[in-house]
Amino acid sequence: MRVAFPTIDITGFGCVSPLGIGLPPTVENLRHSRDGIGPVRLFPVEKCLAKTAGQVDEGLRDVAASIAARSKRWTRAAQMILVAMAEALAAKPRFVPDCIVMGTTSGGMSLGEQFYRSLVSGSPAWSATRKVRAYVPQEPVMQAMSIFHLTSPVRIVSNACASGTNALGLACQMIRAGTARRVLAGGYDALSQLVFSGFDCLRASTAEKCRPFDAGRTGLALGEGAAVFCLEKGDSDLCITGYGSSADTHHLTQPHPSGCGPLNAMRRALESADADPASVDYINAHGTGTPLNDSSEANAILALCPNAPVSSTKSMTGHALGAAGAIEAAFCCIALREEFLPSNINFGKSEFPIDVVANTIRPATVHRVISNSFGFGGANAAVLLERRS
Amino acid sequence: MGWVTPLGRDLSTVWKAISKNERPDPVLLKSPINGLSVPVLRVPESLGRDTATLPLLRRYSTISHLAVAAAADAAASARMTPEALKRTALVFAASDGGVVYTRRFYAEIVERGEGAGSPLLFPETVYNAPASHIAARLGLEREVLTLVGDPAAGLSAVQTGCELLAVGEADFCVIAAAQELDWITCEAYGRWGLIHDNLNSACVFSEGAAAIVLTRESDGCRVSAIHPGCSYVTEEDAEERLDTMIKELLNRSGVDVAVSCASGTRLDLAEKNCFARHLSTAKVLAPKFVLGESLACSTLQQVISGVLALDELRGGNALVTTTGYSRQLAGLVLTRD
Repeated sequence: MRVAFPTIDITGFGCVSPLGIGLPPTVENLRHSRDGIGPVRLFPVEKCLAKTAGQVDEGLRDVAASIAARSKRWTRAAQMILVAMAEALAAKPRFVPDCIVMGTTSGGMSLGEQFYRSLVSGSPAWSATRKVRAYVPQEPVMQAMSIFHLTSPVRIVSNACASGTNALGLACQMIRAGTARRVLAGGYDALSQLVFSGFDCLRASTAEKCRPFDAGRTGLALGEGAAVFCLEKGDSDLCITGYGSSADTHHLTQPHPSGCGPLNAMRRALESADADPASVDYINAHGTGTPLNDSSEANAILALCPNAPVSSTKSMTGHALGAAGAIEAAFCCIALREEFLPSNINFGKSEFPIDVVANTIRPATVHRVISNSFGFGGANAAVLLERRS
Repeated sequence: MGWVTPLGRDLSTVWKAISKNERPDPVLLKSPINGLSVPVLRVPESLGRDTATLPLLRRYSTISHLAVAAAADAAASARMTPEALKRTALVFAASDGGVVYTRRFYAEIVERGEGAGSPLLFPETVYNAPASHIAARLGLEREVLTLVGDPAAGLSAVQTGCELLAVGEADFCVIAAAQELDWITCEAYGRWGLIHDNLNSACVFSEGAAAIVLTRESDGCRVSAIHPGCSYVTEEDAEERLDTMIKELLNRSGVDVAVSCASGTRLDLAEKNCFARHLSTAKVLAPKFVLGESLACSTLQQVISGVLALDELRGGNALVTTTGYSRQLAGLVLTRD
């Protein structure tokens, strides 16, 4: 028998993305529809087709150091997690999670790259050795946890670009099943050369502006960041009321053109909340800006919520892979609280008959929103977020 | 249940070797960087190739081949019908993922320049590629999750599967794990201090896969208690927390068989001390000494070993514990009435 999806409260959340380190700048940059995508400064990209990405501001290191001085020597991924975790826990003091669930796609890939380069270049053994332990995907999470003296078990979800949303769903599932009362959940990913080159060689990245749902879209821009949520049963104004996922085994890197995978995930999220599709006030789309993703997702939206306003905030942040679902859930929380729909920038001519929130925000009283995430391997996930009136 | 191991793919054959503690001879895996050779246990190539019936032609890494083979065996042994598979979730546990394709892809970037990597290699570098291939092979449509971590990820996957069944998101759940070997992971684990030269007691890394099918109701073996685990800081801390975890698990049941995670690293001592304190009468199995250390995959092989041990005893309780290298602890109790 199916156990009803309980209302899971978001009692705190924090966010780091190309739109800001922490919630205050993020809200302002979302409100002004700022473009967080710029030239890649972290590694060489001269030989790549794409040369831009959404990167977290260089002030990250100092902000992280203001929380814990020793974080200066950590990876950028660990610093992002630390800042997001600190912000979430500041909103809910004395929150001791039974488990920590984080999504990531690339984990410690940048350290893997350095390890390989150290080996082939014949660098001293110690320079490679110190990278090995930190490569493991839970390591940056555990580094951040150590600052808050947390010893909860860590589950790392790696479902490609759906990881962040899957992590939120898994956390809710744990509370629903009674195996946890409080879960700290979210996602992280830092830009790495291997992943950047990977999307480039697949010709999935664009050399132009990222234009989700636009008729002239030519691909995605990568991004990075982290977002962390305190989840429990409580009385917050923000809550997760539904979650759905599905597998689409059409192709390892391409969605089924019909949109059946995304449709099943969105439908299951709504069914789990016993919610009417017509009651959805806003959809934060996966909207990568690739021709295949956007057409598949638009088909799913048209089949289920044809009148809901839609935007892809990846047009401003880039695609933060395993962090994307968590960051976009945070953006949804901002939309619910601040009463505006984030925009889909760089939008010109529509290809699909969906209501795209084009280029500037749309003031709106929002009660129920869906955040979509889809990934390689046919991983599809959707989470339903609400604001209690 | 199904597994693909250096000793074979047949449950009873491999189980006999584990019972007799018969380890196969390691082969040497040579690093092209410094010429050093590391003893490892490999799966014969023919055992892991099970893709002839795939619905779509897909490029596969070794880890995906192994994972699909074990999952297909598990589904077949559970006599799962296509209808049942539609109501089945999958939780896949990985530790290192597709390291061979990842290393090859990055080598292309380093050697030929960024943007010059093969688009055929990149998709298999994502951790959830094996899960995607299993889903395609079995025709799954429900939740498909990949958990990544140290050996404890294997038990996290079992717990996640139990949760999915408990809340009714699926009627069946395939739990799978797989590990492939590459010289770069041996370099990494060697530098970590997990590999040393004394073959009589050393941790020997291996490749393989394992899969089990969980159902809500079964007249066979069941997961009767599961500990959510915890993170530990030091080896001393690991022993203290493992001790607490075992005590909590034993509060719920006595134990006839303990399936150890010992593999020849210094972390074994924490478990050995805890077992000595709490499990003096239980039979202790150490499948990693036979099958090698394949991290999350090994942990699922421990679970299968526990089930087979209880089958042999025709009842009782088996404790499975894991002390992961990345500071994660977990444990569960299997019961056969």
